[in-house]
Amino acid sequence: MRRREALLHIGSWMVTGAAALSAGRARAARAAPLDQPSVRATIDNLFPDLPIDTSDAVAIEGPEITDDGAHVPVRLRLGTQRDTPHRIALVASANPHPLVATLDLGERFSGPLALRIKLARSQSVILLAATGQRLYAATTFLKIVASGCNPGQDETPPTDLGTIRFRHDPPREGMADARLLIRHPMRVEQRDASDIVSRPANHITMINVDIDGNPLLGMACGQSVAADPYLAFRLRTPQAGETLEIGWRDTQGRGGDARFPLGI
Amino acid sequence: MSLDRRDALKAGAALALSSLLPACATPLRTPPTGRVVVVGAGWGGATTARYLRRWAPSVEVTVVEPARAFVSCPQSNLVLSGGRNLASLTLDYGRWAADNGIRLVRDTVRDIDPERRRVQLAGGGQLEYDRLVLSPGVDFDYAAVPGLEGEAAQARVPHAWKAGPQTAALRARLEAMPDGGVFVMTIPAAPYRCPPGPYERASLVATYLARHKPRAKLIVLDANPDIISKKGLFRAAWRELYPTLIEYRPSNAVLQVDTDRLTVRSEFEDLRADVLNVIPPQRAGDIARRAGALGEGERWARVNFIDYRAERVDGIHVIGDATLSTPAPKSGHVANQQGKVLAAALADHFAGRDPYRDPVLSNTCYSFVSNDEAFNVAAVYRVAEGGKGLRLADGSSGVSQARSSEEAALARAWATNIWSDMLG
Repeated sequence: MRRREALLHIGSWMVTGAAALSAGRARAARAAPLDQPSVRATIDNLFPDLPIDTSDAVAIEGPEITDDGAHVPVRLRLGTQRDTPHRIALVASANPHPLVATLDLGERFSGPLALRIKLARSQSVILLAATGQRLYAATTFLKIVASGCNPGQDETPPTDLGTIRFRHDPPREGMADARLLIRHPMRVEQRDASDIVSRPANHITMINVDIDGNPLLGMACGQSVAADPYLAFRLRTPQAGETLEIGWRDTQGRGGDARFPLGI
Repeated sequence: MSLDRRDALKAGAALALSSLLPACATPLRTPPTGRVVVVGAGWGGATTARYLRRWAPSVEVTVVEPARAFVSCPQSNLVLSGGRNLASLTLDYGRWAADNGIRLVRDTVRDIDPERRRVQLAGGGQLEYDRLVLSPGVDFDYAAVPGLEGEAAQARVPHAWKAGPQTAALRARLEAMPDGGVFVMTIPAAPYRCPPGPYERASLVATYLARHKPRAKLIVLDANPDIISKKGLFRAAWRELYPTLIEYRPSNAVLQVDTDRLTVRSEFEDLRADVLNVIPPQRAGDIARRAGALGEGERWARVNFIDYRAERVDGIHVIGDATLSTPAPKSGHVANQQGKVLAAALADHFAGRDPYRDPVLSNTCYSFVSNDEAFNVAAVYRVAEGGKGLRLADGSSGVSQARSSEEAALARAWATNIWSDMLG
């Protein structure tokens, strides 16, 4: 399966499959992180048949406690340069939609990867990272004060919705710190008293980053990615003359792209 | 503003008046039943010392504080806009120690020996304690902002996040700024001292610019993804009072500064400023780390919220901004409240009683958005999980519906009352 098709497949599973998992939520919180149904389902769907390795080759880190669960910063350490995973998934085990995002990573991508997620309550968050041979798993417990899954009242989209920002620092030893941000409210769905969706979610589903047509990063986003999706990572050997292109699409069918010259 | 809070304010004022009674000032005539050393006479330390003397008159209280006078951080942003002068925020320690039967030592702490329960002073002296209270506030993590290391660089770019000469320096730069110039301020990622403070500062710098430099611009680079306190009220004030003056740019942490050229490199842009105000990332005052109250790589002291004892070291209590008190903010009001809870717990300790296990704290944060309009957020906190944290008391939190001049007057009264409560 080509990379984009794979991501699309993941995206549709996130929408349909993830909701079915929510029934097991109450039970899930008490189970060991890797045994939780949401994590099992993610492994079965995305990473079947890989031996699971819980050594500290990969790690997920976050603040001791975050006031606002709508913006919880997490940092993913993704192994050594030689053994960087090609696909990762992030699971917030006690969120209504546990699968936060999956990312396919190109050769010139390097960790650590920082992003911001929403948490409905304090919970274990699990990183799954697949190399060719193994599925590395790491978990951390993140405490929050206020739930980040409030559907919110403000219906007006920001006037600069979809604005894409990107920048990289000058490379050091062939690696450059890079970051991107896309303006988007990433609104979660609203459910009525009988748990029927009364207002659908409005969030980015896909972010693609290419360098001169070669995939650097493809991210399938669920509604647990925080507003204004932000990714910070490292880029191998950005060269003058290269162009980085960022594109996105959301649940309403909107989308956009922007191009940024590299190496300056 | 609820009636409850007004009543509480009146009660606070009454309490402050009662301290003038000579009984409180009686020096110890019999050997003390305990010795407490308090490091820092700010919001937390001064309150602890004063209330401990009141509630445990037989306990000897020594306060170590290098400054001659207390300068209030709350409302110091008004110095920038001309709504207050520094003198009005400055309270000389003067007779405070004598009036309250406190021994005040003007010095700084060089070292703490928790085994021998001894404090070594920079001036060469030594103090012994049964219980040590650290209320050191915050220190700046300058290493997190390349270009801002070193005193020379720091002198060129004032933070003004500790009130005093820094506040005056920032006001002077504002006055010297050309009309049509650019004022750039940067906000660190939470948690930091006074969550609404940077947004109040942006409002009050805008107040000054609108009046004196109408062609100037204010650019706010925020490391946080959005305004983190009283967002709707600040947004409305900026939109209605300073529609073209403030440019707010969230998710844009400062990465590097050049203090000679006054340039900033942030996550997404390069800027040149005529006045640059970097509020650096913060951590617990260094003495808390040297006392062993922080774990490896941690930025804030870990305490039990029943009696504020440090989890990692015996005989030491830490209060105020140096602790991670989330969801309670790092505010002067919270430090004042923690000082009282701690004073009561220490009084219990020396009387051989267990501390009260369900202490209740309140907080009020007023923010000015011009010299004569303000709003507030207020909340009540209780102890959670056997002292492991604080939690918002059910239904206790509220914010003003809108900014108003009435609240500006109440904010000034709040300051007068709480200063008198701690330093009366």
